[in-house]
Amino acid sequence: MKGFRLPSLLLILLITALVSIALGSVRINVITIMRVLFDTHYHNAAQEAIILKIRLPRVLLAMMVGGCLATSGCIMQGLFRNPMADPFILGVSSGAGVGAAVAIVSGLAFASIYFVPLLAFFFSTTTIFAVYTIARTNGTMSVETLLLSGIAMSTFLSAVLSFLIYISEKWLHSLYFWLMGGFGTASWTYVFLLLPFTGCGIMVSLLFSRDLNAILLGEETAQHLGVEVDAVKKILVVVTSLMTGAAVSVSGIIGFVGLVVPHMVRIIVGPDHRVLLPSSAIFGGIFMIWADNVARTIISPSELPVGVVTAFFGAPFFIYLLRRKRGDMFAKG
Amino acid sequence: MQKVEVQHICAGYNLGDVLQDINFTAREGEFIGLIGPNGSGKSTLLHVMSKILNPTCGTVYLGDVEIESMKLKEVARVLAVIPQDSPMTFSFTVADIVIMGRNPHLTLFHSEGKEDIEIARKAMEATDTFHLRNRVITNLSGGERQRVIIARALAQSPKVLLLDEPTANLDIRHQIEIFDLVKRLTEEGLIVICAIHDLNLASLYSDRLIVLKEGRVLAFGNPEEVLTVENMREIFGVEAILQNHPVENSPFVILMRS
Repeated sequence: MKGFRLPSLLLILLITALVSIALGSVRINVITIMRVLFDTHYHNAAQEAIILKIRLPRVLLAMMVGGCLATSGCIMQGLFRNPMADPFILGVSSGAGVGAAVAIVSGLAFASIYFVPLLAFFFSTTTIFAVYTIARTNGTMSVETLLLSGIAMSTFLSAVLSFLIYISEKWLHSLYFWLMGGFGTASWTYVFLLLPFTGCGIMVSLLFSRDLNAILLGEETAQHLGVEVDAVKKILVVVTSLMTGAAVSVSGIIGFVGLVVPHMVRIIVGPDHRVLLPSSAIFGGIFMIWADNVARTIISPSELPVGVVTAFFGAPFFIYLLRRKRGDMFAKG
Repeated sequence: MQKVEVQHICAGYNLGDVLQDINFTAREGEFIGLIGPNGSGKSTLLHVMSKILNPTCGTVYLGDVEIESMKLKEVARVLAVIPQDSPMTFSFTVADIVIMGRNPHLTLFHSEGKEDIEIARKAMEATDTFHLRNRVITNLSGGERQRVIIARALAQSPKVLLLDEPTANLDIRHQIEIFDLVKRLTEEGLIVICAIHDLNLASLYSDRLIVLKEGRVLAFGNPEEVLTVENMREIFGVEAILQNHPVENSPFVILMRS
């Protein structure tokens, strides 16, 4: 199963990326795309501009953001042993939201486009650090306390965010659009900013996938199986925070992907994190690219926030999978 | 492993020490029953012995090595723990669960090889769970699930097995089945330390019994020495008649209404 599914998922990811570059107000066929990308003798300024400057970075960014969110969600669900956990559960999104709002409302966002991602990243990681510090007592940290301090912090920051939205007036639209998430501002700079977080984040997570399996059986059992649970928890909280913080800061708050993609994948490949984590990462990428394809083409030349699309199509698909699974189990007896 | 030695252990949680100066030695192949009323410190002692809880004084020796100087992974290579009940919410298969017992023997960058799979298979055969290997753990009965947990513990290739009331939620047939299985393992040299509520089961299977009350060892010896009318009164506050088991000749506790 492990040997078969991962390569086929990667193939689907590749096809998805190629087809997505072809989609848009200017249709470009796949062969032309391949020639622009790989044939050094082929030159067409207009096509090159569209493919290399606009669509390719956008597709890559969506792919990485989807991968980061799905991987983080998968880890959070494992750490908390709770299928309702998602990457935003510790307050990353509220922190990032406040950061972005501060940048926009203060006018910094209009001095340089990098102030929004910078402040969003800074606020989201600071939030996690605060949540983590609050939850730690006597050097240990129970997931329950972590969860509760995350919720408390999120609620507090939501209040701050509501206040900032209230006073934002003329910036309301741009702030709101950022909060709903999207890849309209995708650029190679964003791609290269996010790349190390995605790469390192997924790599480190994979190293701990066996330990995550043991933690699913309960923290005490995991310790009995030789897992240094406290250390693993710390590392994974830091890794997911950085991954999620980085993803959110370049794309806004895209909900649902981090919650539902790990679920969908778990229904198909089972709970073993050694398969589940990489599959979630890849499937998260695929899912996000398609969501963005819909977001940017459905009301062209205007764009929908991608968060609307992920929820609108993700939820029914998720319900379908849940129902189908139940049917199958019944058939097997 | 020759022995497990508990020396002058005091330990507790936030509200002060539960255990006060616990001392005993368990020898190779010995089945030691741990009895005592609720809250007497049985689980706390098992937590200290498995390095889940650090003692406030004293030491546990696994063989000749102090447990404090060992990493959790090193402890898990020689000592396995079977809890009372293992809540399972994620749909791992039986084989998945059992192979997790090999975790302490693997490094960060390696996954299990042929040898590990072979050990897991033997563990499943010893516990009669091999035929369940592709079943999902959440769909098993309590008795089957506990046998799977024992298989996982055996897959750790332990020298010491700690059990915390392993049959508390099982019917009598499954209780006997589990204890027979664990007793057989001591014949291969495994040291077993098992918290048991049922005194007659404790008497039937234990080579020696440790009695804990209010965090102290009240008695330590073979079942004939420990299970007496006076001890029943002093330890549990119950009146009982002691007879000999007609077949096994071990003490048999008959409780009286109060």
